[in-house]
Amino acid sequence: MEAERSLHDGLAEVESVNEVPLRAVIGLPAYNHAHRLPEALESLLLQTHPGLRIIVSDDGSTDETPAIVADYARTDPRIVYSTTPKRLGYIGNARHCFKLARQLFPEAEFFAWASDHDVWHPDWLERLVEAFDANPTAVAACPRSFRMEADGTIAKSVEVDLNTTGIEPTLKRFVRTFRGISAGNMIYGLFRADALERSGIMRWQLLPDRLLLCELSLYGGMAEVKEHLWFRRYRRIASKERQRAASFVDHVPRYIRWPWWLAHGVVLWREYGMGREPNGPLTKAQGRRMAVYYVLLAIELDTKRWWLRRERRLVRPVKRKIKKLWWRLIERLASLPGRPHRVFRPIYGRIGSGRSRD
Amino acid sequence: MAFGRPPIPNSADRRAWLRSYHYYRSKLMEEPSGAEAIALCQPLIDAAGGWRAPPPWVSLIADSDSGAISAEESDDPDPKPSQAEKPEKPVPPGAKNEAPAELAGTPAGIHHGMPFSKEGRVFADPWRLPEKPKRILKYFATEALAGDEADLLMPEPEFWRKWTAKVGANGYGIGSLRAFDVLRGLRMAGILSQLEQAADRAIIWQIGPSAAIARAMKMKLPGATYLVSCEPWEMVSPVAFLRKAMPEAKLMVAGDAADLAKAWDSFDFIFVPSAMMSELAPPRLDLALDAMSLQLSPPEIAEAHARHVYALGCLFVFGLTLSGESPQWPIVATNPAFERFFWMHQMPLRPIVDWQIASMIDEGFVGRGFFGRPEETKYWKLNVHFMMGWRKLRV
Repeated sequence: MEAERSLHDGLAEVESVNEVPLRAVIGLPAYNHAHRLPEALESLLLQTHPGLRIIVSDDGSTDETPAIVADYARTDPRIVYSTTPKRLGYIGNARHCFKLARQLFPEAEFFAWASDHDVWHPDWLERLVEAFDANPTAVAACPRSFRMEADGTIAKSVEVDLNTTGIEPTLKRFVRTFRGISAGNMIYGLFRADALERSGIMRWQLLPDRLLLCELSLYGGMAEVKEHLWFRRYRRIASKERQRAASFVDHVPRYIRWPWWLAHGVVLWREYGMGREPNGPLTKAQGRRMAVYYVLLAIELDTKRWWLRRERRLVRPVKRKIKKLWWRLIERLASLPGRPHRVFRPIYGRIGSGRSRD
Repeated sequence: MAFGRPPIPNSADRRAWLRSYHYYRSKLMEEPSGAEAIALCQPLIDAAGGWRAPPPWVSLIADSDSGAISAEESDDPDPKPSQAEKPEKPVPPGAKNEAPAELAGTPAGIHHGMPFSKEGRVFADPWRLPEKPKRILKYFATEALAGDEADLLMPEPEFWRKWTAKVGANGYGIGSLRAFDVLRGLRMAGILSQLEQAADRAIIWQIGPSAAIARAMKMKLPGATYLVSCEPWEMVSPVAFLRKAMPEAKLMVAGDAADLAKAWDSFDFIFVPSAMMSELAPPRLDLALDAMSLQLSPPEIAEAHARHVYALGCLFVFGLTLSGESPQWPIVATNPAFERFFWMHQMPLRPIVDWQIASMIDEGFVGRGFFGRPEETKYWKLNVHFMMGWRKLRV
């Protein structure tokens, strides 16, 4: 009842600030991150683009999250606060945010998910909207990001640039997207709301972000913004077990135990290979081919990851040892007179690459 | 620039420091713009109630008629050690961080006791920039020019060539490389692009005297008004430098708040003394840039600056800070002051010219080994970091 009331109060106020044309809605699924939420929320409220609404959907938090959001919603009419009727888990809450956004703000052209612990640069929305305006066929836009430690120290720059605008045919774009995406980062980009809706929003799968971004690529390209406009806070190493626990609260379907690529392949075959959507982006035959491609690419990716894990365990200690010996040699070289150039280049690398040596 | 090695309170270094200062002052006075700068600063010095806390072993004398400044060594609190005596051993890094007793009574902060711009690190060897440091500078400048962000590296002015390394037709010094670091940080933080695209005239407030950063920022953002606040005597060097380096720029040294009211849209550089900080009311403030000044000030000064920057509605702050331990300089963490008003984050940017390298260039030292040399241990293990932050909605 309380949630209902706050939602309606928020809407009444939103109507009063409707002078600025609304272009984007940000859905923030919140759950028990009260200590990080103010910074996340304030960074969204500081966006320089005026046409913005924020839907905060609380998935039954037991900490101060409801009080914090209600407090901000009281002073800023751009925030709409909602609570889920029961605990939905991450995917359910993200879907809830999107559906609520379509229901309350059908005129909004763009949609983005936000998390309750990351931080957005004030220009984030403005730059991404500009990227969309420059690429009318794009369905998604992503900036570069920073990886941030739990204490707020920015650890490193993440520069996964992927521009698939203008790539034709569709299947080529699909393959390019699969190989180029960093799904965990790009899922927090900005999307065209209608394309997102047609792509199944966020399906009830493990790694739903990868599946969604690949499906989105069928409807248009992804625009890149080569600026660091998002700060992603890392807390723990991502794992499928954690994702399973966070997304499937009551019941874990049997297909979730399958390999993720198999489950995704079945979804793609069903959605695009069996002709559910008559005006879809692909013919049935192309849809089936795409599902097969997806599975093959996913197996390739999993094999690479397996090899990397193996390499990390077996090969890296040896490499580290060699590197140590190399550094000792460098030290020796540095102690010779008159050779600073030979010393500084290996130590500092190329300057201006924008990356930390560490 | 804010990276000068602080004066070391033992007699030999103190004398070297004074010699440098005298040399610098004499060079400055040779330039008409230097004398003008000092004359300009004079009313401000008077307004601020005279000189602020010079080091206890230095007496600064300002002549109100001629505008000349002189420095004299006062009664030596630490007499010169005899030849037989061994010089004091430097405190190793990580040792207890205590300010020496002779600095205990300087509430205005050691920073405010340095009668030369910290840009003046080159004056540690005032006679020339030795050949080997030149090669280091040349290496860094060449690397920077070959990188993606070459447009951010601004050459030093022609008259400064004595302290630069030549790459192509231009000379690059420590100042231009430090400014390059700052501009890189601003670009990485997404602030530079916002300033470049600002519809109205952007106003940038630099806290601390750094002519090199101010000049580079102005060259990158020619449409911006650049406000520099520092102690009156700290203005002498940057004002003289900027007047000489950018004669076409409109520079103002504000005497009182009334001067400022009409200056925001018409002047390129506005210098104000720190004492006038509370009277600053620019129509907008796009960025506050702490050029490693507040960290060397008492915490209450840092707090007052952070509060005022916030009150002016500034969206971004960007700061250069030091970390590590110094046996002589009480390094104040500015983060607590700024974190009350801004969400602060440390940037993952490694400065090209960090403290140790700058110190080596200062000393003309290179080539005797890079790691773990006995010579290196006399420098403090301090690192330069870049902090960025944006305003909190609720304080």
